[in-house]
Amino acid sequence: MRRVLPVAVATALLLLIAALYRPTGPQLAPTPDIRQLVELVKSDPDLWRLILLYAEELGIQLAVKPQKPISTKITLHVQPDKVVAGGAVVASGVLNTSRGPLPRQLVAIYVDKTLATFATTDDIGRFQAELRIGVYKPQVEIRAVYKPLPGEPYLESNATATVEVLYNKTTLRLSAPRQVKWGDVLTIYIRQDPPIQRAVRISVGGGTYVVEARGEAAVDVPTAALTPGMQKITAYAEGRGPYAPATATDAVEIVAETPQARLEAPPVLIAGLPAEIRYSVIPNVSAVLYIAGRPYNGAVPLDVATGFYDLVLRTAQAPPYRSTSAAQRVFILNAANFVPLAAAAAVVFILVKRARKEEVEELYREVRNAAPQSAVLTIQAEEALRLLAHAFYILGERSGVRYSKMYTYREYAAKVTQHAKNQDCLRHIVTLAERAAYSPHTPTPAELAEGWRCLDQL
Amino acid sequence: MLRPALAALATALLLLMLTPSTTPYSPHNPGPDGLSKFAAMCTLADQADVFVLAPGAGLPQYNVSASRTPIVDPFINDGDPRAPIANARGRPAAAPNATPLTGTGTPIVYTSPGSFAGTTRGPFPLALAVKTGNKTVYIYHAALFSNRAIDKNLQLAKEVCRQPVKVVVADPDPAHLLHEHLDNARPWAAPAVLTAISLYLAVKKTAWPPRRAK
Repeated sequence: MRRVLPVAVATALLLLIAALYRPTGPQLAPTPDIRQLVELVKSDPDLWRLILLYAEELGIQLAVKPQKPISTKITLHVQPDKVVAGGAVVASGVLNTSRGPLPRQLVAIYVDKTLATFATTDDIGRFQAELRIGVYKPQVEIRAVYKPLPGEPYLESNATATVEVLYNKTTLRLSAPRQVKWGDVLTIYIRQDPPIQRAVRISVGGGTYVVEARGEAAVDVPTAALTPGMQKITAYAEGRGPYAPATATDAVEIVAETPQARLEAPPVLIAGLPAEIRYSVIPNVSAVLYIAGRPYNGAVPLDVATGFYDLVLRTAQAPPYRSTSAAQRVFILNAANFVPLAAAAAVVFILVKRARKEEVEELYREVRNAAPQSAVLTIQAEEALRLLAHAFYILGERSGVRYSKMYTYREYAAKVTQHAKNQDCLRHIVTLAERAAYSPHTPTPAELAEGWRCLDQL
Repeated sequence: MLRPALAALATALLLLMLTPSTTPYSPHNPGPDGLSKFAAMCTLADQADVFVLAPGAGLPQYNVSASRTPIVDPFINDGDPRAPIANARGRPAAAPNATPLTGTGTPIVYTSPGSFAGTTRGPFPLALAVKTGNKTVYIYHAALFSNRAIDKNLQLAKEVCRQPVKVVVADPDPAHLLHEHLDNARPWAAPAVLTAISLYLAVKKTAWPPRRAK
């Protein structure tokens, strides 16, 4: 009853907590009126333009749900319809609905599918914007798109026009060595035809270098920051005025050398203790030793479990030498992991001791019952019989013949005497017990002490 | 008297251990506003260069804190004005119940220009890169990684989890505090318990009367 009550109380508490547990949201200030915020945005075309740009950058389509959809129609005219690349054209048009022109609305104007600018319609729905044509294609599409604000009752509409673009083609050539030692300078020569003063952007291995060139130019690229192996070189000359952009590619192999790393360590390491680890790196570049995946700081980490781990020596990159590593499998012994084993051994030892104690006690009762029932035993006599019970228990375990009171002490001793290591000791213990049971002569403390010593020699 | 007190203490600790935290944005909170899914993806550590800050919490050493004023975005949101969609290095990231991060640093995740916090207009930073000495620490708002947002921001979460992360919450409950301490003590818990059992058994053994005394 006393144990059941706490268990019941604990279970009830658990159920109570499970019933009461409700995740709570963060405690935040109240939110403002959303309708007011929508009106605020709608009244600010510049802000709406920024929101559209933000949505476009993230690829988000703003959902427009007009309450009563009203179709719109937009017209677009581009003047002139032929332009030299880099020149400007004027895009104009009118935004209309069946109910009349739409004033003060934003119209997005795209040049070759890229948002170029926004225009706002005037009081009679007209819009106009100047566009600079920086696209090097024979035909470029200009598109005017009207997207109503959320909450507006209008539908989207768009219109397109085409502009013919005049420009000159240009060529770009690259020249670079096939191989470069890692860390050395890579010199890239560029030549453009026709020779125009413009920026050429050169990309190698993630790095970008810009050079202002006219005709021929050379660029020195430090290779220490590049990754060894084949690297693609890309050059891009931007378009300038009527001259179209040009690109060229080449490849270079960045050649690296591998340092020699050697590592020697004992096969077994002890957690928490320093280990005798020898290593060398030729040539002398910096290196870090890792044990069980973490840097070795003078001693084997204490919190790793007993088992096999990799001891790794990893060299740092130092052009022209690439990073390399040497590894050795080691066994780490952690004394803390043997605590469970020790605990289990202790438990088993105690259980065995307790079982043995009970069996000896049972044997003592058997030995005691074999003594005359009328005899009144002194403390020393009882100890002599207990000593005999211990001896009979040991020999019974060895011989497989268990003592019972059907034997006299001497008969049982004769049966198991060949299993005793010291037969004189057995005789001494049996004699003491017989005297205790059948004789008024009580064993002395010295005789008993001798008997206990003898027990260890059995 | 001692035994019932110890039993009551053990029961209380067990109950707290079995009870999930209700602290918003706690790594031990499995609710919609908890960070349990994020915590399962990441290595949480006390020493980290990446921080996740819950509303109301702060990092005085970097002079950065998360306010308690919710960000509302009427246009660029995840189906609810209180769930703005932030720009996380060019990718959209849902941030339900987000609040602005305040402090110096370079914004790396931010809300749209049409978002509002109270009467203030955005964009508001939801992640800051703060240079300190020769290193850069990254501070993210916890709303980006809550259990209700993590599935939509999985890529961002994976990028953030490449380094050990420290989660800072405001007003932690006892279950959160206990789990924090348990996490710190976990490597040594099993050996400590087994050692205690061994010592207990050893003490009990020496308390038994010797064979001769019997």
